Amino acid sequence: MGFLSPLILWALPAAIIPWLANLWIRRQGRKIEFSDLYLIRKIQSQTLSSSNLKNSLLTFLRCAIIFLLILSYAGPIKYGSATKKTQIDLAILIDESYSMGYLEGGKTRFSWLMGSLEKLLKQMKPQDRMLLLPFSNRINAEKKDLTWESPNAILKHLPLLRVGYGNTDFNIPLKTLRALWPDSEKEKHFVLVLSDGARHGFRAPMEKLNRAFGIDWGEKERNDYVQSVKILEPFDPRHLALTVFTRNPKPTSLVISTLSGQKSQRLIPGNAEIHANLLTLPKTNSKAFITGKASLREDNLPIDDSFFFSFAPPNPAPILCIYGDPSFLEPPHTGYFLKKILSNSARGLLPYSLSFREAGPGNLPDLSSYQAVILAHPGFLPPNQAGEIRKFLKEGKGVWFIPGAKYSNDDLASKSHWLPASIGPLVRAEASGLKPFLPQFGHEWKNIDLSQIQIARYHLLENKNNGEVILKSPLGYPLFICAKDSRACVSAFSLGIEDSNLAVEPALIPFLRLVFKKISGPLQTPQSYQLAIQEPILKKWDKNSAAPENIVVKTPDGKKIKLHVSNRTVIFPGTAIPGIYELDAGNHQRFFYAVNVNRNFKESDLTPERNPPWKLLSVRSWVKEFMRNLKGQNERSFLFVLALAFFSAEMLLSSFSSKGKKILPFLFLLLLISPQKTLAEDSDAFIWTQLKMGPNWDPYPNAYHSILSFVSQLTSAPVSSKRRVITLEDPKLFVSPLVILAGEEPPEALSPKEIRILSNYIRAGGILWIENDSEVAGGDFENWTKKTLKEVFPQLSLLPVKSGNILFKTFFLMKEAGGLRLQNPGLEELDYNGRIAVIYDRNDLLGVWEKDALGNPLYPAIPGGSLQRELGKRLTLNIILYALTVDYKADAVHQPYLLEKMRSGIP
Amino acid sequence: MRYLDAVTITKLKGLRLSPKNLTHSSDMVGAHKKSTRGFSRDFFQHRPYVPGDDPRTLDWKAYARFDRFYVREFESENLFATRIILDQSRSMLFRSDGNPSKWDYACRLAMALSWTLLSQGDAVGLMTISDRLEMEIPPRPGFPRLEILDERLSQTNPLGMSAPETALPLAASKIKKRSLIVFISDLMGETEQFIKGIISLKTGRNDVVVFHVLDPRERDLNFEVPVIFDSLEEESELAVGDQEFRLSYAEEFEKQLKTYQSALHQNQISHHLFSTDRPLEESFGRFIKKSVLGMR
Repeated sequence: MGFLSPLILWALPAAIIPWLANLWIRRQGRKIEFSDLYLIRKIQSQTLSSSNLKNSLLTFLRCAIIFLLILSYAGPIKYGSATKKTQIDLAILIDESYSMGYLEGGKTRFSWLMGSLEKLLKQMKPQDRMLLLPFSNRINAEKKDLTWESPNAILKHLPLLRVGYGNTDFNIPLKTLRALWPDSEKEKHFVLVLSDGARHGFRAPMEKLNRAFGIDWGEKERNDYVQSVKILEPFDPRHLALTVFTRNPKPTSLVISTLSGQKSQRLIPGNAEIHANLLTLPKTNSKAFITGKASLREDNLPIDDSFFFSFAPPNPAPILCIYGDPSFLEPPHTGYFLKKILSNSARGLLPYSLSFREAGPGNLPDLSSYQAVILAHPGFLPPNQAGEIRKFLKEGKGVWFIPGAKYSNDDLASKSHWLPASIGPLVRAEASGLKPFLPQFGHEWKNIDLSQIQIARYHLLENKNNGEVILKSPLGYPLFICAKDSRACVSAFSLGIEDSNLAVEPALIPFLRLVFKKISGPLQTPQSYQLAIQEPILKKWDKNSAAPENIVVKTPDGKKIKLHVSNRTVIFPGTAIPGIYELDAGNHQRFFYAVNVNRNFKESDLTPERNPPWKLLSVRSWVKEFMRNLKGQNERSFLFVLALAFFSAEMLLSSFSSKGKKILPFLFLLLLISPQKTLAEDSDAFIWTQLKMGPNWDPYPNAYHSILSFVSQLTSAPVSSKRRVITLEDPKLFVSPLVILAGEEPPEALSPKEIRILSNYIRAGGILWIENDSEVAGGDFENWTKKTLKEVFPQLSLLPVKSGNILFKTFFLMKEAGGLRLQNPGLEELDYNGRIAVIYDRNDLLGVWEKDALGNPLYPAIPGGSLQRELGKRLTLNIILYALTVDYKADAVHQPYLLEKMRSGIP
Repeated sequence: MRYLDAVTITKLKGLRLSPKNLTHSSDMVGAHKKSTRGFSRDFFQHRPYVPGDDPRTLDWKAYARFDRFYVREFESENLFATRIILDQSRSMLFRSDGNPSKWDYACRLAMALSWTLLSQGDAVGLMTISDRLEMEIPPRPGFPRLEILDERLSQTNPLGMSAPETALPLAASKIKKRSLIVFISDLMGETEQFIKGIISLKTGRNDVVVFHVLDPRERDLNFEVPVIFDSLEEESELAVGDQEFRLSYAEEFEKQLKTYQSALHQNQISHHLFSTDRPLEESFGRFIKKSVLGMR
């Protein structure tokens, strides 16, 4: 807190004048002898407290009014953190993560911030230094660009900034800042974090920042989003698992569509977190990619309402089936069913590929490429084959032994020492059904009626090495045994109809899944082809498959990019936008990659952080609040308004006395009169009129205040406190003697109608004052001006204003023009019928008037400093007075009268 | 005489005061008719003779005419004593600009009343009170009384505080015979005490009339604020800096007046207001008129 004119504070004791006056008046009363005080005393005792209270309140109010008035005249200032600094260093951190695309009132949060940042930058002084640091989860700028720049230079960068697809991480820009600034300087700089300030940006705890400011958006964001799409285990291409968050209270719809044109829709409740198996597609080719998009109804942040997914089904595990009986593959024998089920794997029932081979002498085929071997009725195994299978088992692979009906003891003995059970004679089953399973067999068995399964005959199995018995006959004889230490399994019966009805029962698939899982180990999981944005697509071909020479990548926006495959590998780095990327390797080999914005850091959860390490500014007025924090605030008007309020209270309070009834109507009258008075003012006072043309028609929005108060202080010309902003088609143009057109960049070319209006206006006596505020001499604005004036006055052209011109005389006598920047020629005029019709200024005359919060000039006058500024001010006043009085001073008609008056000695 | 001049006497001539409901017990023969029959020159009625009547009252002429005995009855005429009690407290000294002090006014009022009564042949006595009985002149008929009253009043000045609740009963105790008591006071002070005191006068068969003498400023308190009031009776001051105080005061004063009027009316005491800015004769005449008409 401080004061512009602290000397005035010496007047503060005057504030007790009303109190003293009150005391004095009380003492001053006439003394009267009165007969008896009984009644008076009685009344006083009744009214004394209220009248005393009223009296003291009035006295207090009067003291307070004087106190506040003196304070406000002293110019109280609440200092900001940079009030006394001549130069401000400000680092602007701009969040470009995708959550900044959240729509508020039709504009994204990002564009809101950019709009107001522009305003802020315009209020900064040219000598202030800015550092622009766009970031998401990385710094979105080159290191060489991270330098201090002037506010104007930063303004030029702003249109280049865009919302990206990254995630917010506040630590990254702050770390960069820390690296840029040594510790000693850290305290000197200001940091402005333009972000949504959501909790997701604070990945690591952060220390409190002293001079940092952020934006408070309030708590109204409601964002629905799809967090993830996964495929379920065990692999079934028809079922997808989704995680969806809804923050809107209304239910929304979720649509899942695949590339192959399948669609599924579901209604999702509002305000919920949903983990659901949502997609149930009808038939699907288990070998094809499962690719598509899950999308919610679009909300304020559309980017995370869709999730692209792509999965490649797992490769089926290869299994070799060696059979001894030639009729094995014919119905109704075991091989027939196995072949039917597994060769028709297009249905995707079991992810295994089975190849068959008849048993015989000689070596077995190379077993290394198989996951498991099924030995079905193999008869006698030659020792070399048995050895290979033993070795196969030892490598950790699996064997399923299915005994046939015709076996000699030798046959069995050749296998028995590596099988988990020794196989006994074939017996008839004692009853139908199976003994109930252990519960760990999973949900698939839940709906299967075990009593429906009939085993007609089976081999008696003798569990050798404490193997695991999986199936049991009703009396408990083992029907299926798996070894504990290897993947060898033995079943006591075949799947042929002669042994059991299992092959035609619903239990077959779960049974086979169980068996195959036992012998071939866990399944390969489906391969996810999902990437986060910016993550490169990397495709490798293994040695077994043929790699193409070139591939073509089709991006979601329809571009096709050809890439060369080298070293069986191809890398595509350009996953810049979310969507499905198709990698075409030719030869019907196509891969689909789903690219999404990174959801791992909860970017879509927009819940704001309530205790960020910076000071929060309300989003609606953050520029104002920021400037107040930075530059401080002149509290004069606040105190003045307070004094006015006290004054009204005083009037109201004192009006409750006997005269009150007379004052109240007077107050009403005053209220009624005041608006009419302003209307009247507008009609005959000079109104500052600006043309709203071009992109920056108002480079100095507050200059007119200072100009008009200057005019009213120095001249007796009545001025209106309001300004008038018009277009050329506004009829008020013709009641404005002087119209100001300012700008840096040229407006659009005028239409013939506008040209006509402008021509009429100037010919009818109006004066157009054109302010070229661009820093460089000439430029587009000047070209536009000259072209337009040529259209209005084809015969006339602008001429430089020379000294002695009437503009240098109308009020102040001047020799040369002033302004914020002197250029040559700085001031030009266009003469029409002997009067100046157009004034064209390059010196930035309006710029000299712009002030900061404390009333100091905002921009330095170059090169002349304050003298040049003063000349600029005087010239402005001269121009206005010229518009009001024209060449009254030039013809000097008043001079003889003045001289005569002076001679005659009349004061 | 100091408190009664010739002009006043001229104006008072012809006014007669007759207490309507005074039932007199005085043995003195005076100017006032009595409901009992007595001895006067005014014939009232004839009445048939009953044994025991004084034979002197027999109307022989009537006997001669009607051959029956009739008795002549005459109206009885009576003299009544009036006691004037004058408030002598210092508050009676108050006077506003252009008006006589209440004390002067009250004295002139007392003298005017005395003249009226004495001219009717009634007896008039005077007492002055403050917080005690200051002076007493017993009632006697005859004009010489007037001189005595005036002389005594001229020698008296208001002093002391008013204490009607003690002084008035004291005065009442001095009044042995039934009388008309006229209490002249400004009634400035505690309302209750005044009422109590006045009611104490009403004991016995006395008729009480209150002459309430006021200065107009006492009613409206019309002084320019700020003002400091200094009590005439006691050593105290009060500052008033508030214009609206007057309104409250006037309101309160009227309230007090109403209280007096209603309390006195309830006790069959008549109350008459005299303002020092009005001519005495006019106010007094109005009082006489009222009392002749039987209005209280």
